[in-house]
Amino acid sequence: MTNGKIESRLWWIVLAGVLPLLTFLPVLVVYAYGSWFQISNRIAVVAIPVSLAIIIWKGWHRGDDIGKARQYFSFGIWTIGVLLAIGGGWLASTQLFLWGGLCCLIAFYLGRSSLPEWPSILGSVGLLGLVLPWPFGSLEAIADNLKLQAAWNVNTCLDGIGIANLLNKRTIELTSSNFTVADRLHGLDGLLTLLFLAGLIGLVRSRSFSHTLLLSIAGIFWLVMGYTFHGLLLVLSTEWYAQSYSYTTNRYIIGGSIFVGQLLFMVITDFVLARMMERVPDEVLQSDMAITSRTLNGILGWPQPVVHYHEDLSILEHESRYQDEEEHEDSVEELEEPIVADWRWRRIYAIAALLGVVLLPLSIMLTFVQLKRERPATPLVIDAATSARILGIGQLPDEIVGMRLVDAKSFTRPEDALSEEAPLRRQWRYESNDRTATVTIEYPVRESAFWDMGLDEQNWESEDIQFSGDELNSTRAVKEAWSWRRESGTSEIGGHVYYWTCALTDDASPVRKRQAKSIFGRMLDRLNKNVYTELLVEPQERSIVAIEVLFETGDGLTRTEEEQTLIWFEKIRDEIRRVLGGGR
Amino acid sequence: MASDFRRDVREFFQALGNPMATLGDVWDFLNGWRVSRRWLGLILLSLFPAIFAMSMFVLLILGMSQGKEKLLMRYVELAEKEAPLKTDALAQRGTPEELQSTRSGDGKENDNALLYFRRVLQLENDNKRARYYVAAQYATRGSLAQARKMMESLAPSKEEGYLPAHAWMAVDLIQQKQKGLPVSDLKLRHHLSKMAEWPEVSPNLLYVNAQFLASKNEKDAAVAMVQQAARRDSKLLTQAAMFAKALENTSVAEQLASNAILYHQAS
Repeated sequence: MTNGKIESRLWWIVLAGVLPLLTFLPVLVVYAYGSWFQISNRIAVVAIPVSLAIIIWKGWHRGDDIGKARQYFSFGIWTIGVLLAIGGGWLASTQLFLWGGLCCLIAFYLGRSSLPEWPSILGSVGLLGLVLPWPFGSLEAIADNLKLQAAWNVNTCLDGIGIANLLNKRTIELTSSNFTVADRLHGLDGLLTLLFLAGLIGLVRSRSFSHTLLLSIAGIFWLVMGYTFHGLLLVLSTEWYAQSYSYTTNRYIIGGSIFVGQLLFMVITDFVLARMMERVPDEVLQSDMAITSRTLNGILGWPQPVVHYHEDLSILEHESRYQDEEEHEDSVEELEEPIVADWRWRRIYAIAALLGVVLLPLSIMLTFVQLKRERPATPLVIDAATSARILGIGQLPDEIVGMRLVDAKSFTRPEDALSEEAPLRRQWRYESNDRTATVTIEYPVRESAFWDMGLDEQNWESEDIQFSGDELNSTRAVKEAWSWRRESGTSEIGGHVYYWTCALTDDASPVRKRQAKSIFGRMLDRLNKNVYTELLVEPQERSIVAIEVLFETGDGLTRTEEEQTLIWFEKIRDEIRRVLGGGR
Repeated sequence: MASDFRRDVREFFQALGNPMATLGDVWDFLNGWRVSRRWLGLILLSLFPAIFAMSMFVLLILGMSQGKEKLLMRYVELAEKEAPLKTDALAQRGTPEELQSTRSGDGKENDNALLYFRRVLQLENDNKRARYYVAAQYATRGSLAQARKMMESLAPSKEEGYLPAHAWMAVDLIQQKQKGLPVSDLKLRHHLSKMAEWPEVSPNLLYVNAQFLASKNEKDAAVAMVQQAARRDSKLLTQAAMFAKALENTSVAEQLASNAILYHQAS
């Protein structure tokens, strides 16, 4: 078989395999444009195009034979992928669509690569495992702990440099400003992407299991180091150079650059590990073929690559195995032969190509349908006039549960460097002998403001409150209803604290979900300082209106007092809803 | 395959039976591993990541080597420099009329000092000075309920606690009384008496204490308190003389009046 024939057939196989994957590109583009900074999607947005690029690159290179088990496994995954993608398109679920894409990618690679069988299957399952939710939110917990570790690192480094600071959970407080370090890092995205990259390198470069495991650990290490560096950079730039990186663009450029650095370090680590973990050649071992040496060599390279030595061979082995060029060429020819001869696979790729041709226009069409369908539910962007009307809502009563109104303020967005983070808000303050209450309407509040901190460790009560049952009768009403949540407990410095949140359930607003993480940490921080700061707000992204009520009291509220308190909030909510029109 | 397995099992047992030879094999393997790597290339390749990681580690080690005690001392020093106890709002409280018009703990908001003291609390949770300052700042910023809780823990109503906190509690109770809220006299008396023991307390607050004692018909104690206030601040001499005279303690009134004359002549 001539080289030209081999290349043309490889081209055909590559195109047939890649075409179905291309069907996912429109969705990816939409995601890349609209949801780059949304936690759950970045992994897909980052990983899949990168993987595609690698696969296409690999497609230029020769492949070799694969076993029966792997053929069926690959075909099974590919089928699941296509079904998921069709289901995702039908249900307008981009998430399903992307999972389908990932399945196809893995199937394509499994069907083509020159890896030994079971390690590849394990690796593919591992990669899939990163996309699927983990039990008990453990992956999220790991990501969160890494961010907290990074915040501690920044705190310790600042102590070392001699800059006065205070680490309050995840906020580094300085004399000049505060930084919610752990919230400004791309926790779960970073972890997933680096683990994904480790897995992908392991598969694509035919690395051993122990190598891939070490690479994953190295990924976590570089992630924390990158976080620490990012946090330090944010703090020092303000403290030393009075240069704020809070501008959205600046922050993303710096975050992105550090992320690229982390990826680069991962690649370097892979190269270093590959050289460190190469088998020790028999020629340099004095005790030839001793079981100890064989075992240790086995640990270094388990599972042993079967047919891929011609690419990743160490120099010594290479020279010892292929004494002359002619012999080397013969061996390559032997390796190439099976894939060219195995035409059974051509049919599968032909079906894949056909489906790809059909799916591509369907995918584009579905994407547009989905975009159109999602438009009313995606970012609730309120124009300036409506915003002003929301914030212009009338005065609250002069007295509530024995407290007098002492202050009412409207905060407009200052035209300074931090303006992008400053919410528009209106605030009422009530006081009595041993109670204070702050009622705030804020707009916009990003969904991420309601994540991050868990209540469990704080021993606080959390209760979802559902008002006005009629709103929950239809699907539409559920989507447009306001969600309520009450959190209460004893603050770390004494006194009872009640915290009510009421927000529009914009899309899958986590406020409604019992298991969703709350804004508690930031709220307590505000409570300690009695000021409202550090809400990360992205005016153009998934904006929602929220009413937040902070209630401090020496003695707990009675049930009646709680109910009375809630009645005001309902009034505010109704007024805002009237301004927004109908359900909104 | 089977013969390989048999050979492996045999060699495994041989290795178990001769640990020294096994150690020798391990050493041989490690040596083989060392000589078969291209170290220069590896070092060059990992230079940049290594420098980055090392700089991070140096900073971390530098921070960790500070130690809790050293950090605590540093932050206490910073905090005291920023907000010394002598300039505390309560210590410098003005006349009783001013006291009436202001809220407990009312003072200047000092973000830097608050940060330092909160860090001190983080390093040493039972640092009374820091707790006192943080509580007073909470009160200044409107979190009265929390401030009271903290102050009560610092200055219990039946035992001796941190003296400035007793002073804060006394002022708070007086203010509540002035607003017509029910206040336990026993509690107020306890806090006032402890407040008087605070060397930095404002003479005006001592004068307020004297007024309280006079209202309870404890004339001798009231006069003693007003004398103490006058000794601390000569500007109060005239006021103290009039107070003593009103309580029919002529000898003390005359002595205070003559001191007041001398003070005015000197100034």
